Amino acid sequence: MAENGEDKLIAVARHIAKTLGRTETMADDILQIFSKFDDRFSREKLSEKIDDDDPRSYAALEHALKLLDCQITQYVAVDQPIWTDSADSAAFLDAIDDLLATIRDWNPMAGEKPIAACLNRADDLLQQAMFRLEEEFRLLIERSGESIDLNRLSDKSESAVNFSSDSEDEEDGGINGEGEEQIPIAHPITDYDFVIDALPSGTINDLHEIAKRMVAAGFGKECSHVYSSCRRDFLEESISRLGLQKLSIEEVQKMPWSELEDEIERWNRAANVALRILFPSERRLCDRIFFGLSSAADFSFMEVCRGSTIQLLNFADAVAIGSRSPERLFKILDVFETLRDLMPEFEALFCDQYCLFLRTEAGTNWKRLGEAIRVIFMELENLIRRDPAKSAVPGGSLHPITRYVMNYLRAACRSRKTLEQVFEENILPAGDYRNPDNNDRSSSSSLSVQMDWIMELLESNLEAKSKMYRDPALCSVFMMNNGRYIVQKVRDSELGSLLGDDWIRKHIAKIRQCHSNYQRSSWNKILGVLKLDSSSVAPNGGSNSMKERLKLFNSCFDEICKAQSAWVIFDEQLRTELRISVARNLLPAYRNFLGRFQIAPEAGKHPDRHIKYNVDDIEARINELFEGRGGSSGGRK
Amino acid sequence: MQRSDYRPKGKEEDLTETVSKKQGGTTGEERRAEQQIVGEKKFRQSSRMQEFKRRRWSTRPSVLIDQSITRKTIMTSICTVRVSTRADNVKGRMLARRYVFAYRGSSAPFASFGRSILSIRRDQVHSMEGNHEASSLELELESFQKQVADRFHDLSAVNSEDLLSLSWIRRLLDAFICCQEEFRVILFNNKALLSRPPLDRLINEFFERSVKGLDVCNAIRDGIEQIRQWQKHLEIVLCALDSHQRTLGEGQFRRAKKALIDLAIGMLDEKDSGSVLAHRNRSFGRNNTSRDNRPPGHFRSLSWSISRNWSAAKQLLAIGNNLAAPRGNEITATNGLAVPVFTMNSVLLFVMWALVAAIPCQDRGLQTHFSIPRQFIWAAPILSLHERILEESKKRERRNASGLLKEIHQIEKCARHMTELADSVQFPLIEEREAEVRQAVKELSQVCEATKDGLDPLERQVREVFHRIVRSRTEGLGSLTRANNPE
Repeated sequence: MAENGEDKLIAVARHIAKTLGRTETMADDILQIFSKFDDRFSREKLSEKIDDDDPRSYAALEHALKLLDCQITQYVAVDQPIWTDSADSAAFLDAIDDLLATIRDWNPMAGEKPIAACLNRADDLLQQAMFRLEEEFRLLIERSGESIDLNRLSDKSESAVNFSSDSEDEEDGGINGEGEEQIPIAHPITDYDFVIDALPSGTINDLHEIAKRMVAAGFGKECSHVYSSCRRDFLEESISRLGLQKLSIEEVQKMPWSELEDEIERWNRAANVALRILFPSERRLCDRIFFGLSSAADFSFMEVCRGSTIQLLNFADAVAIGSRSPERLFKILDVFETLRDLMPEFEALFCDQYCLFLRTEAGTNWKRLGEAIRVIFMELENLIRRDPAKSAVPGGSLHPITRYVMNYLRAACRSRKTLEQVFEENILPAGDYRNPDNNDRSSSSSLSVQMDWIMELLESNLEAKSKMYRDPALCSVFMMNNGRYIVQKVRDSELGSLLGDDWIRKHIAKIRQCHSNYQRSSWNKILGVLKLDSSSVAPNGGSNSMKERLKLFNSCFDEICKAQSAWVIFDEQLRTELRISVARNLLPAYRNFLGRFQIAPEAGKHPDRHIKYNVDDIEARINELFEGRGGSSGGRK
Repeated sequence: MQRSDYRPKGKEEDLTETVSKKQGGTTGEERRAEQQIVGEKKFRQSSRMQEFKRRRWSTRPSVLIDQSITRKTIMTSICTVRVSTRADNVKGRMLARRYVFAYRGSSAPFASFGRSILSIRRDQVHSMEGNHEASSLELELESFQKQVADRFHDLSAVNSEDLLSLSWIRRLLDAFICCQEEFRVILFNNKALLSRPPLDRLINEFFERSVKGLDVCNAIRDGIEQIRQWQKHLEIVLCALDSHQRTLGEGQFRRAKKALIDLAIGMLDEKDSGSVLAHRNRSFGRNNTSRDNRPPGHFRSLSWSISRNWSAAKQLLAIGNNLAAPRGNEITATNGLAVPVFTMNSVLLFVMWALVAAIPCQDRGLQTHFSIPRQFIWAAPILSLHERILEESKKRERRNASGLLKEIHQIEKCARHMTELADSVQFPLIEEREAEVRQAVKELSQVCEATKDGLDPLERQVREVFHRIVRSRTEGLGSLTRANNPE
């Protein structure tokens, strides 16, 4: 009984000390006074039983924990998101800070059992707080992630972003959006110089505060995971809104070219938007949320962008691996150029240890596209080489292959800088995408050598084809036609400066050569007929021979006109030149011959009877040459 | 002169001799160059054009072997092949005879092999030219068969512990890369023959198959990333139950348990990832309701970079489709080259199949049928590996696995053990239990460490396989079209 009463008394004394003493020292002082007052209140009895080592410290820890437990449990248990109320969230964060500080302060003394037990409780509490933080973090991202979608929807008309209205319709079809919920696609075709603020600034601050606590508590991994899985989804949705599908290499290979062309266009746009807007925005967001936590920021950023980047690069790869038929050149050049122009972005964005591989991958990809382009040129060479000399083009006109190759090369040379880069790549150490202009080494660039080579192949192919014509004159006409076309196409395009003036001069000379070949093989014989030397006017049989000659001339001339009016000189100027030169050669000789003939005795009184054509007739007939008429209308009489 | 690119210092003599023997002094490329030059005599050879030609021809071999690794691989392979065949010429002959014999003794589809490729070659040797050139192609093909057989014998010598381990998979890929390189050398050396039917068709089919392999490589890469995601959950478990912590309290266990649940869901998710993903993709643009279906705190599994209806099983079927051993007349008509093409096809199919077996990927399926006649000396090891892997997939504890990779199994085992422990512990932890937990943590961290160290090199290797396939295809198609040019 007495024992019991004493216990009670001590308990009361303790209670008094605790209630009055607002601080540990005050309580201690009170207990001190009690112990002096009566020895029933000895220090030993008054102090609690467990903390025999360091009662003061222990009690303080215990006390602090109780308080924090109270606060934290209250928040952890709340059903509503804590971050809807700024006061609540601030208080929750303060409590967590206190808890972290307490753990930090007491950790060195964890060797002592009771303290260790308390720290375990603290850890437990921390655990719960962290779980809650993680949840809040996720909610904050998701909630504002959704709201930003709506904002963008309403922003559409205000066009904060430079939307291009014309391409919008086409895009809408592909997205298959549903009424209100459809999110507009940004077309930053003209201006990439802006950043999407995916989350409101206030939210970013909140997230940063949470991230700071989670990393400090050793929960950086969890935080980074939540962050990256949410943002990854956001990013993938954004990319899918740009109309980009996930395609396997096989699917890309099987795709009809026209579809693939559209896909490449979408890819070009998506790659630009991704690398110039989406990724930098993510990087900025990441850096702000994980401000001061650079490793967590880098890692999270990689986790966010990895999948989308690989998706983009895989497509470029698939395009590079696909068919290399020459008509694909232009689209592949687009992909090459896009990737090249984005290389600085790749370098800037993916420069940390985690992302480095993405940058390397992009470089490899880009080079592979360059190789694909070189292979395309090889295919073009093969195409030219293999083009069979099956049937001659009627009239010795322009061969379709000349037209195809020249227009192809002209079009290709619109991307001269890029092509120069592609072909330099072959020889120079790779990787200098920055200054394609640096490679501009006038005429001796690899590209010009390549073009020179293709022209040689084309010419030798044409020469082989010209052999199809049995008439050497027609053969020359064919070569002239094609040569003329080639020179024209070269002259008025970049090809001219690539191949150089010498090349052009040489080829003009070649055409001239063809011209004189034509002249020789076609008209020399007939000119020979008209030739009057002293021997031919010999008295015996001379006149007869004049008549014969005139006859011979008439029939030869008819024959030539008949044949050659069916021939074609596609170029008007060349046609005129050719006619003039024929006339210039033939007319004086004919006039001369007629003159002689008319005064020749054997011509008799009516030399005109023998003359089928007068000089003007001849000229008229010459002017009908190369009209490409079907041979029937050749003989006029 | 172009040869010097991959001639090793010190072994030059050997190679010069063998190479010139093989090529009869001129490579196809050189011959072509000469013809071209002759054919274009009428064109003036401007200095620029000459420079261009020099560049062209001199860059060709560097396209073939543009990496030091490649060079080394080819080097070693060529050296071992050549040196050994030269040294053991007699042995080589005997091997050849055995090879012939194997075909002769074979049944139905090979009955026509009465004249094996080798004897046919020999006939040609007698009837046509000096026997050096012909026998070198013969030896080249033989040694390729032997190389492939040796590599797969090595691989099949693995014990059941290491079969399908990360290190074994990496060896498998090494073997693939080596075979691929040797095959490439064979194609390079026999360019002139490639464009003749039916070899052109066979080669084209091979390249078709290898493109299908590229998609498998990409899918496997995603799978590796998937394992990395699991790895992250494990790291959280390790972080929570870190052995440096003073005592293990309830909080740590709760954290670990949460990570273990996420891991379990992640691994489970894999098996029906197709449907989950499809659902997710469909919800784009809406309010992403599917998110809410997921357990709170669960990390969404990674999405695949390939299309969601892509199927590894179908892809393997497509690679294996119409793959049959060459018939006697095909072998004859191709100077024996149909054999290495079939060999490489089979190696490709097997390696891709094994990758799909080991690594998680979309719609795995191992029903691929391997019809490799036992007469091929590499058939036995490949078929035995196929059987063993299939056995492994039928084991009860592995039947539902998302990948047969040993490390995945270990992760599963450790995670299960850890989950059991975490579920059963009571607080405060008694010492015995704590020791048990610490032991489990130790094991887990070892598994984690090993996986982590193995995944990065594996991914790089898968990429390398990808690049090699692309390069070999580019070259092969190039020489096919080039060879098609009558010049």
